[in-house]
Amino acid sequence: MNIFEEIAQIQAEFHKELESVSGLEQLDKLKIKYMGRSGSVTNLLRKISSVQKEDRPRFGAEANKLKSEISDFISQKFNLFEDASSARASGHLDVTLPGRSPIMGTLHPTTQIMREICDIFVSLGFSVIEGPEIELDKYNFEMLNIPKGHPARDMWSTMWIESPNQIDTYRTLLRTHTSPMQARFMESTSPPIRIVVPGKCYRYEATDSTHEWHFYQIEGLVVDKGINFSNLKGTLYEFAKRVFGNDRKIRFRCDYFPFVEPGVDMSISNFKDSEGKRPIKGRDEDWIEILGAGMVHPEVLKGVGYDPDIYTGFAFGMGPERIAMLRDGIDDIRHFYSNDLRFLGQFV
Amino acid sequence: MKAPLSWLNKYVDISMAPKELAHELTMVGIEVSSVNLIGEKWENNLVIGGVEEIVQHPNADRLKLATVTIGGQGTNAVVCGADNLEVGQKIAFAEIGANLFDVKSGTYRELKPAKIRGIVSEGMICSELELGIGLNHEGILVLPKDAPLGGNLKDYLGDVILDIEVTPNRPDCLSILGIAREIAAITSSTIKEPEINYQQGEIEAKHKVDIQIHDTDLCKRYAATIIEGVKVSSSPKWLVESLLKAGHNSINNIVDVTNFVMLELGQPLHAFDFDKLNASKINIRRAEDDEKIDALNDENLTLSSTMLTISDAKNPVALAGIIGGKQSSVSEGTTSILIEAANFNSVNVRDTVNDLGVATDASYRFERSPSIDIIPVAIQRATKLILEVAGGTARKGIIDIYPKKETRKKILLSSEKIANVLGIKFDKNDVVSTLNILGFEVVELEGDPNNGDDYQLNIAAPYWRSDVSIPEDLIEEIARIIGYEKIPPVMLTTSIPEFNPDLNPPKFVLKELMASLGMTEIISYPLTDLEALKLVEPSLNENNIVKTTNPMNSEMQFMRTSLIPSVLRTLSQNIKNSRGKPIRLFEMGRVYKYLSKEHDEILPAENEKIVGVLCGPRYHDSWLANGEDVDFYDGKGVLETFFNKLSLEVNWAMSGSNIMQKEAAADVVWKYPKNIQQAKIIAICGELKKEVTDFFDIDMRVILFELDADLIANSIGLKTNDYYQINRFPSSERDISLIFDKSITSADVVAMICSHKLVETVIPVDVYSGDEIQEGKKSVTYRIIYRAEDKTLTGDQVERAQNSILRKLEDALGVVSRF
Repeated sequence: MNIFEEIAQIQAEFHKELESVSGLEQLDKLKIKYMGRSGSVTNLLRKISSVQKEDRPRFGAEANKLKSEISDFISQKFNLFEDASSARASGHLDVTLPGRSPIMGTLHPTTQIMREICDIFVSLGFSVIEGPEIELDKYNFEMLNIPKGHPARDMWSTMWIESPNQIDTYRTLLRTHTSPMQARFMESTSPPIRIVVPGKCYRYEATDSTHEWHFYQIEGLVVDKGINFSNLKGTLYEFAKRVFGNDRKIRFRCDYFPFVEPGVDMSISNFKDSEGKRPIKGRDEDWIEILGAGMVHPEVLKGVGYDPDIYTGFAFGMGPERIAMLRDGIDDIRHFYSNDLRFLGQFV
Repeated sequence: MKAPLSWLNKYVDISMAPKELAHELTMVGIEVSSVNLIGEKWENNLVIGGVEEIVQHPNADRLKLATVTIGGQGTNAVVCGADNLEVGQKIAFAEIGANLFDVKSGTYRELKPAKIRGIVSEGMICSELELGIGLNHEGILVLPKDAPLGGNLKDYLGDVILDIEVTPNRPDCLSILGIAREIAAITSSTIKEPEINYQQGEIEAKHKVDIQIHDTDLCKRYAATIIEGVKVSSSPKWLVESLLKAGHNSINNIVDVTNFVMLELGQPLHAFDFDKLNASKINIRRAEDDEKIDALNDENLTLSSTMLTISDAKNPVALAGIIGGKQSSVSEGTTSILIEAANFNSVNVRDTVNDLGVATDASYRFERSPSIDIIPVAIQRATKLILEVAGGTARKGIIDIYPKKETRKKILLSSEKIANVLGIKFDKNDVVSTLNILGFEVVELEGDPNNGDDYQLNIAAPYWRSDVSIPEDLIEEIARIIGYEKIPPVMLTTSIPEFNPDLNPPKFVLKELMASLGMTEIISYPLTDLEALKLVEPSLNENNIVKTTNPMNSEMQFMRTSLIPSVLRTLSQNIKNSRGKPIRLFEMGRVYKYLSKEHDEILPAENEKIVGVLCGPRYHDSWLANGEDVDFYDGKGVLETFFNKLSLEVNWAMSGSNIMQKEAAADVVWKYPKNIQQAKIIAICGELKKEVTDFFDIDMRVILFELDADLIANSIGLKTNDYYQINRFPSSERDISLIFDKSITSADVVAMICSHKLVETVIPVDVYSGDEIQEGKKSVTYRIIYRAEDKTLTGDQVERAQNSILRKLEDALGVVSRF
């Protein structure tokens, strides 16, 4: 059989087989048989090198013609079957077999909760900005009303950076909180300010189920004329309602951070329901702290050149991991940065 | 700070239940972290016993056999291992069946009869830990001599202890009285101040001792008094019990009083054996370098000239504000004592504590700057109590050296200021009564109506408070006692500040896009080891790396200069946990580097990168999967779609990256960098070298890509799409198989085909490298889509176009058709 007879034979066989095709699945198989990567037509085209040089143009033309003919007939038939879509429903397809799913990626749970939190604040008119993780003592402590030797420095055990510059103000460290951006941002801009600052923080601390030496914070800062404690409360109550739902109660109590006055600790309620169950798994307390806040301390405002008699502001800071843990019932903060796919995969 | 309810009750009447009290204190900023009921688990089988006799245990060197009486007929033979056991002691005796804290299991257990080394122990002599009232397990708990034999321990020691976490601004609450004052403010009750008056002697104290402050920068005030003829002995029950419940051991009556007054008022005190002070002198001076002191904690401390000492005519007798010296300490033979109460510089105390590694209850308080005005009160209170428990005669008056007396500044507070800060007006009477109940003195002034003031107050803080100096401090005082819950929540009403796009590069979009392309985000520690960093960047200069001085561990000392090591470590770990599954990870995070070797700049640069890895099978295990592993084109596919979505046009070129397999990696070159003249490599993508995967203990093929996230985020700018008219004329498709040199890239061929005006798109549909293809050549089949903008193309027109393209390919690149 020469190559042209072969073409004719493929053509004849195709038409015969096409006649007997009765459904989409069979049609697919037929298509693969002729047009697939190792189908008869594809194989035929590959035979070009073995065709006599003078026959090649004719071969090319006929083979291409066959190809488009087969392709056309298959399309026609396909349309026919498509119309009679009842064929699909008639049970030829086992619809319970899994489909061809694309591989799904997920965002890290910290990213997800941070995004959610930032989105809430964006909807309240805040801008999201970032700052350096490697900081100067000046911004991390001094300008936040925590001078050298201040006992409150014990609240932030610090990882220090080796640097030739050992003058106290310029001692370099890994920021222990996102609050240095308060000073940095105010220093470089003038009011009004309404920002949130998400980012990594570090503490020189042993890890346990609720402490990581590497974690995230989200800082908030609002400064303008006429900003007051009521606004702080309004803003954070709104935030907490959106994250934890309307049913939960929110509580402000007095607390101390050197860069705010008055200072606040905010908790959400975790009361037992009628069956004695609490909304937050594994926490047997009525109130659970979720963030620290307060009115920006006049010393902090003065330090960046703002007149505290004209401008007032509030600031807050929270740990997104903690928020996620409380909301999703995660029992150990160390899961977050050990990056086991069996953990990460739960946060789709 | 442990505050026993029984002690608090001495100054304020408490009718609230302990739990409620804890809640109320917490609300006003005095956080009660736990409420411990001493003796909650004690029953009638825990009683006060007396040790009558001690003999050696016949079968164990370290054990003793004690005969314990509980007052009735007969005695109990008890095995005990404590070193501090002595005949005549009163002890806490547990009879069989008592509920005790078991150190080994960490839970409470019932005491069972037991044979210890062959001898039956008829009960147990308890330590603080076993009783659950302290952490001391070194020896047994020794009760005061006057403890009633056979008495119930619960009646004798039972109490409620509030464990309070005092914030650093409230040194006054590092005292029982301070906490009592808070309770009084919460419950609107009055405080019973401790009694400080005592019978004074004839001769003035100042004639007996010469006190000089040499370094007034570190010691602003030093007060002392002298008591002669004291009898040092053990303390009475009330004193031992108070200290014990607050977490302090009893030492002797004099030392116990100084500790008691520190706990009561928050002012640390020290008692010296006066006769041991050389030349009856007290010099408050900086130490000389290498001067030494034998401290009460049994350490011999070497001092330096930054540290402040209390010295006699010759030697340091105490490290100021931190710890006393042994030589001058009060002991059994002491008859005259000097009591000190002083103010020491908080920063200096803190530095000395850090330098020497010696921290005490006194230094903890001095670091927090207790009020300088408590000093005379504390001296008088201590003197009064010492006279009570140790007898003797107090000299007349106290010596009070206070060179630059500080007067308390009055703070002016207007109604308008309160409203500005809190957003709510408070009634004058409420404000004044709240401040009064906290001990503030308030003078009412006329408000300035021009400021909108209803009233103005001139306020002086009480002598024990050192933390109130500005109107905002007063406002917090008012708000916390009236209650934060009284302030209504109000949404922000000021206008939203202008948006600054430069401060908001759209970085999150990049993460989201990566996840949408099947990549799972990880976040790993930014600290790593040098070896891994150098492996992925051999040319790395160590001087440019940011190094921590106190790393969590030696494997995490360096701030990463590349995300690759941490991503590969995470991959390696996950391959072990999820073998056989497709793994696709990415991290977007910062790398840190000093930009110049000289560390000129104060802070290093922080740049955001994305690193992605693909490993394992292409699809999840399934009836549809073919089981093939990922290859270069899977990584490339992710990046192509990524750049497509961001409308960034890129070129792909062979890469010389030294972490990738030879000829299996590409540089991604961005065609149109904004503000940058040359084209820029914004990503690399390829198959990792075996050396690299081996280092991270990975035995599979890994496709890795790295992107410059900062550059990309700053370049995508505002999202725009270039709209064009949809072409309504039909297209024609033709496949052509081409053979060309391996040195020619597919991109070159495609570019040439596309240069024909009728070509709309070219898609490589097959790459073939069978036997028929010559060495050094490759065969690629392209599907060409022809379309004209203004007409339907005829077969002939397409044919002609195709022939012209083929001619051009052959002439310019030597590319030939396989047909």
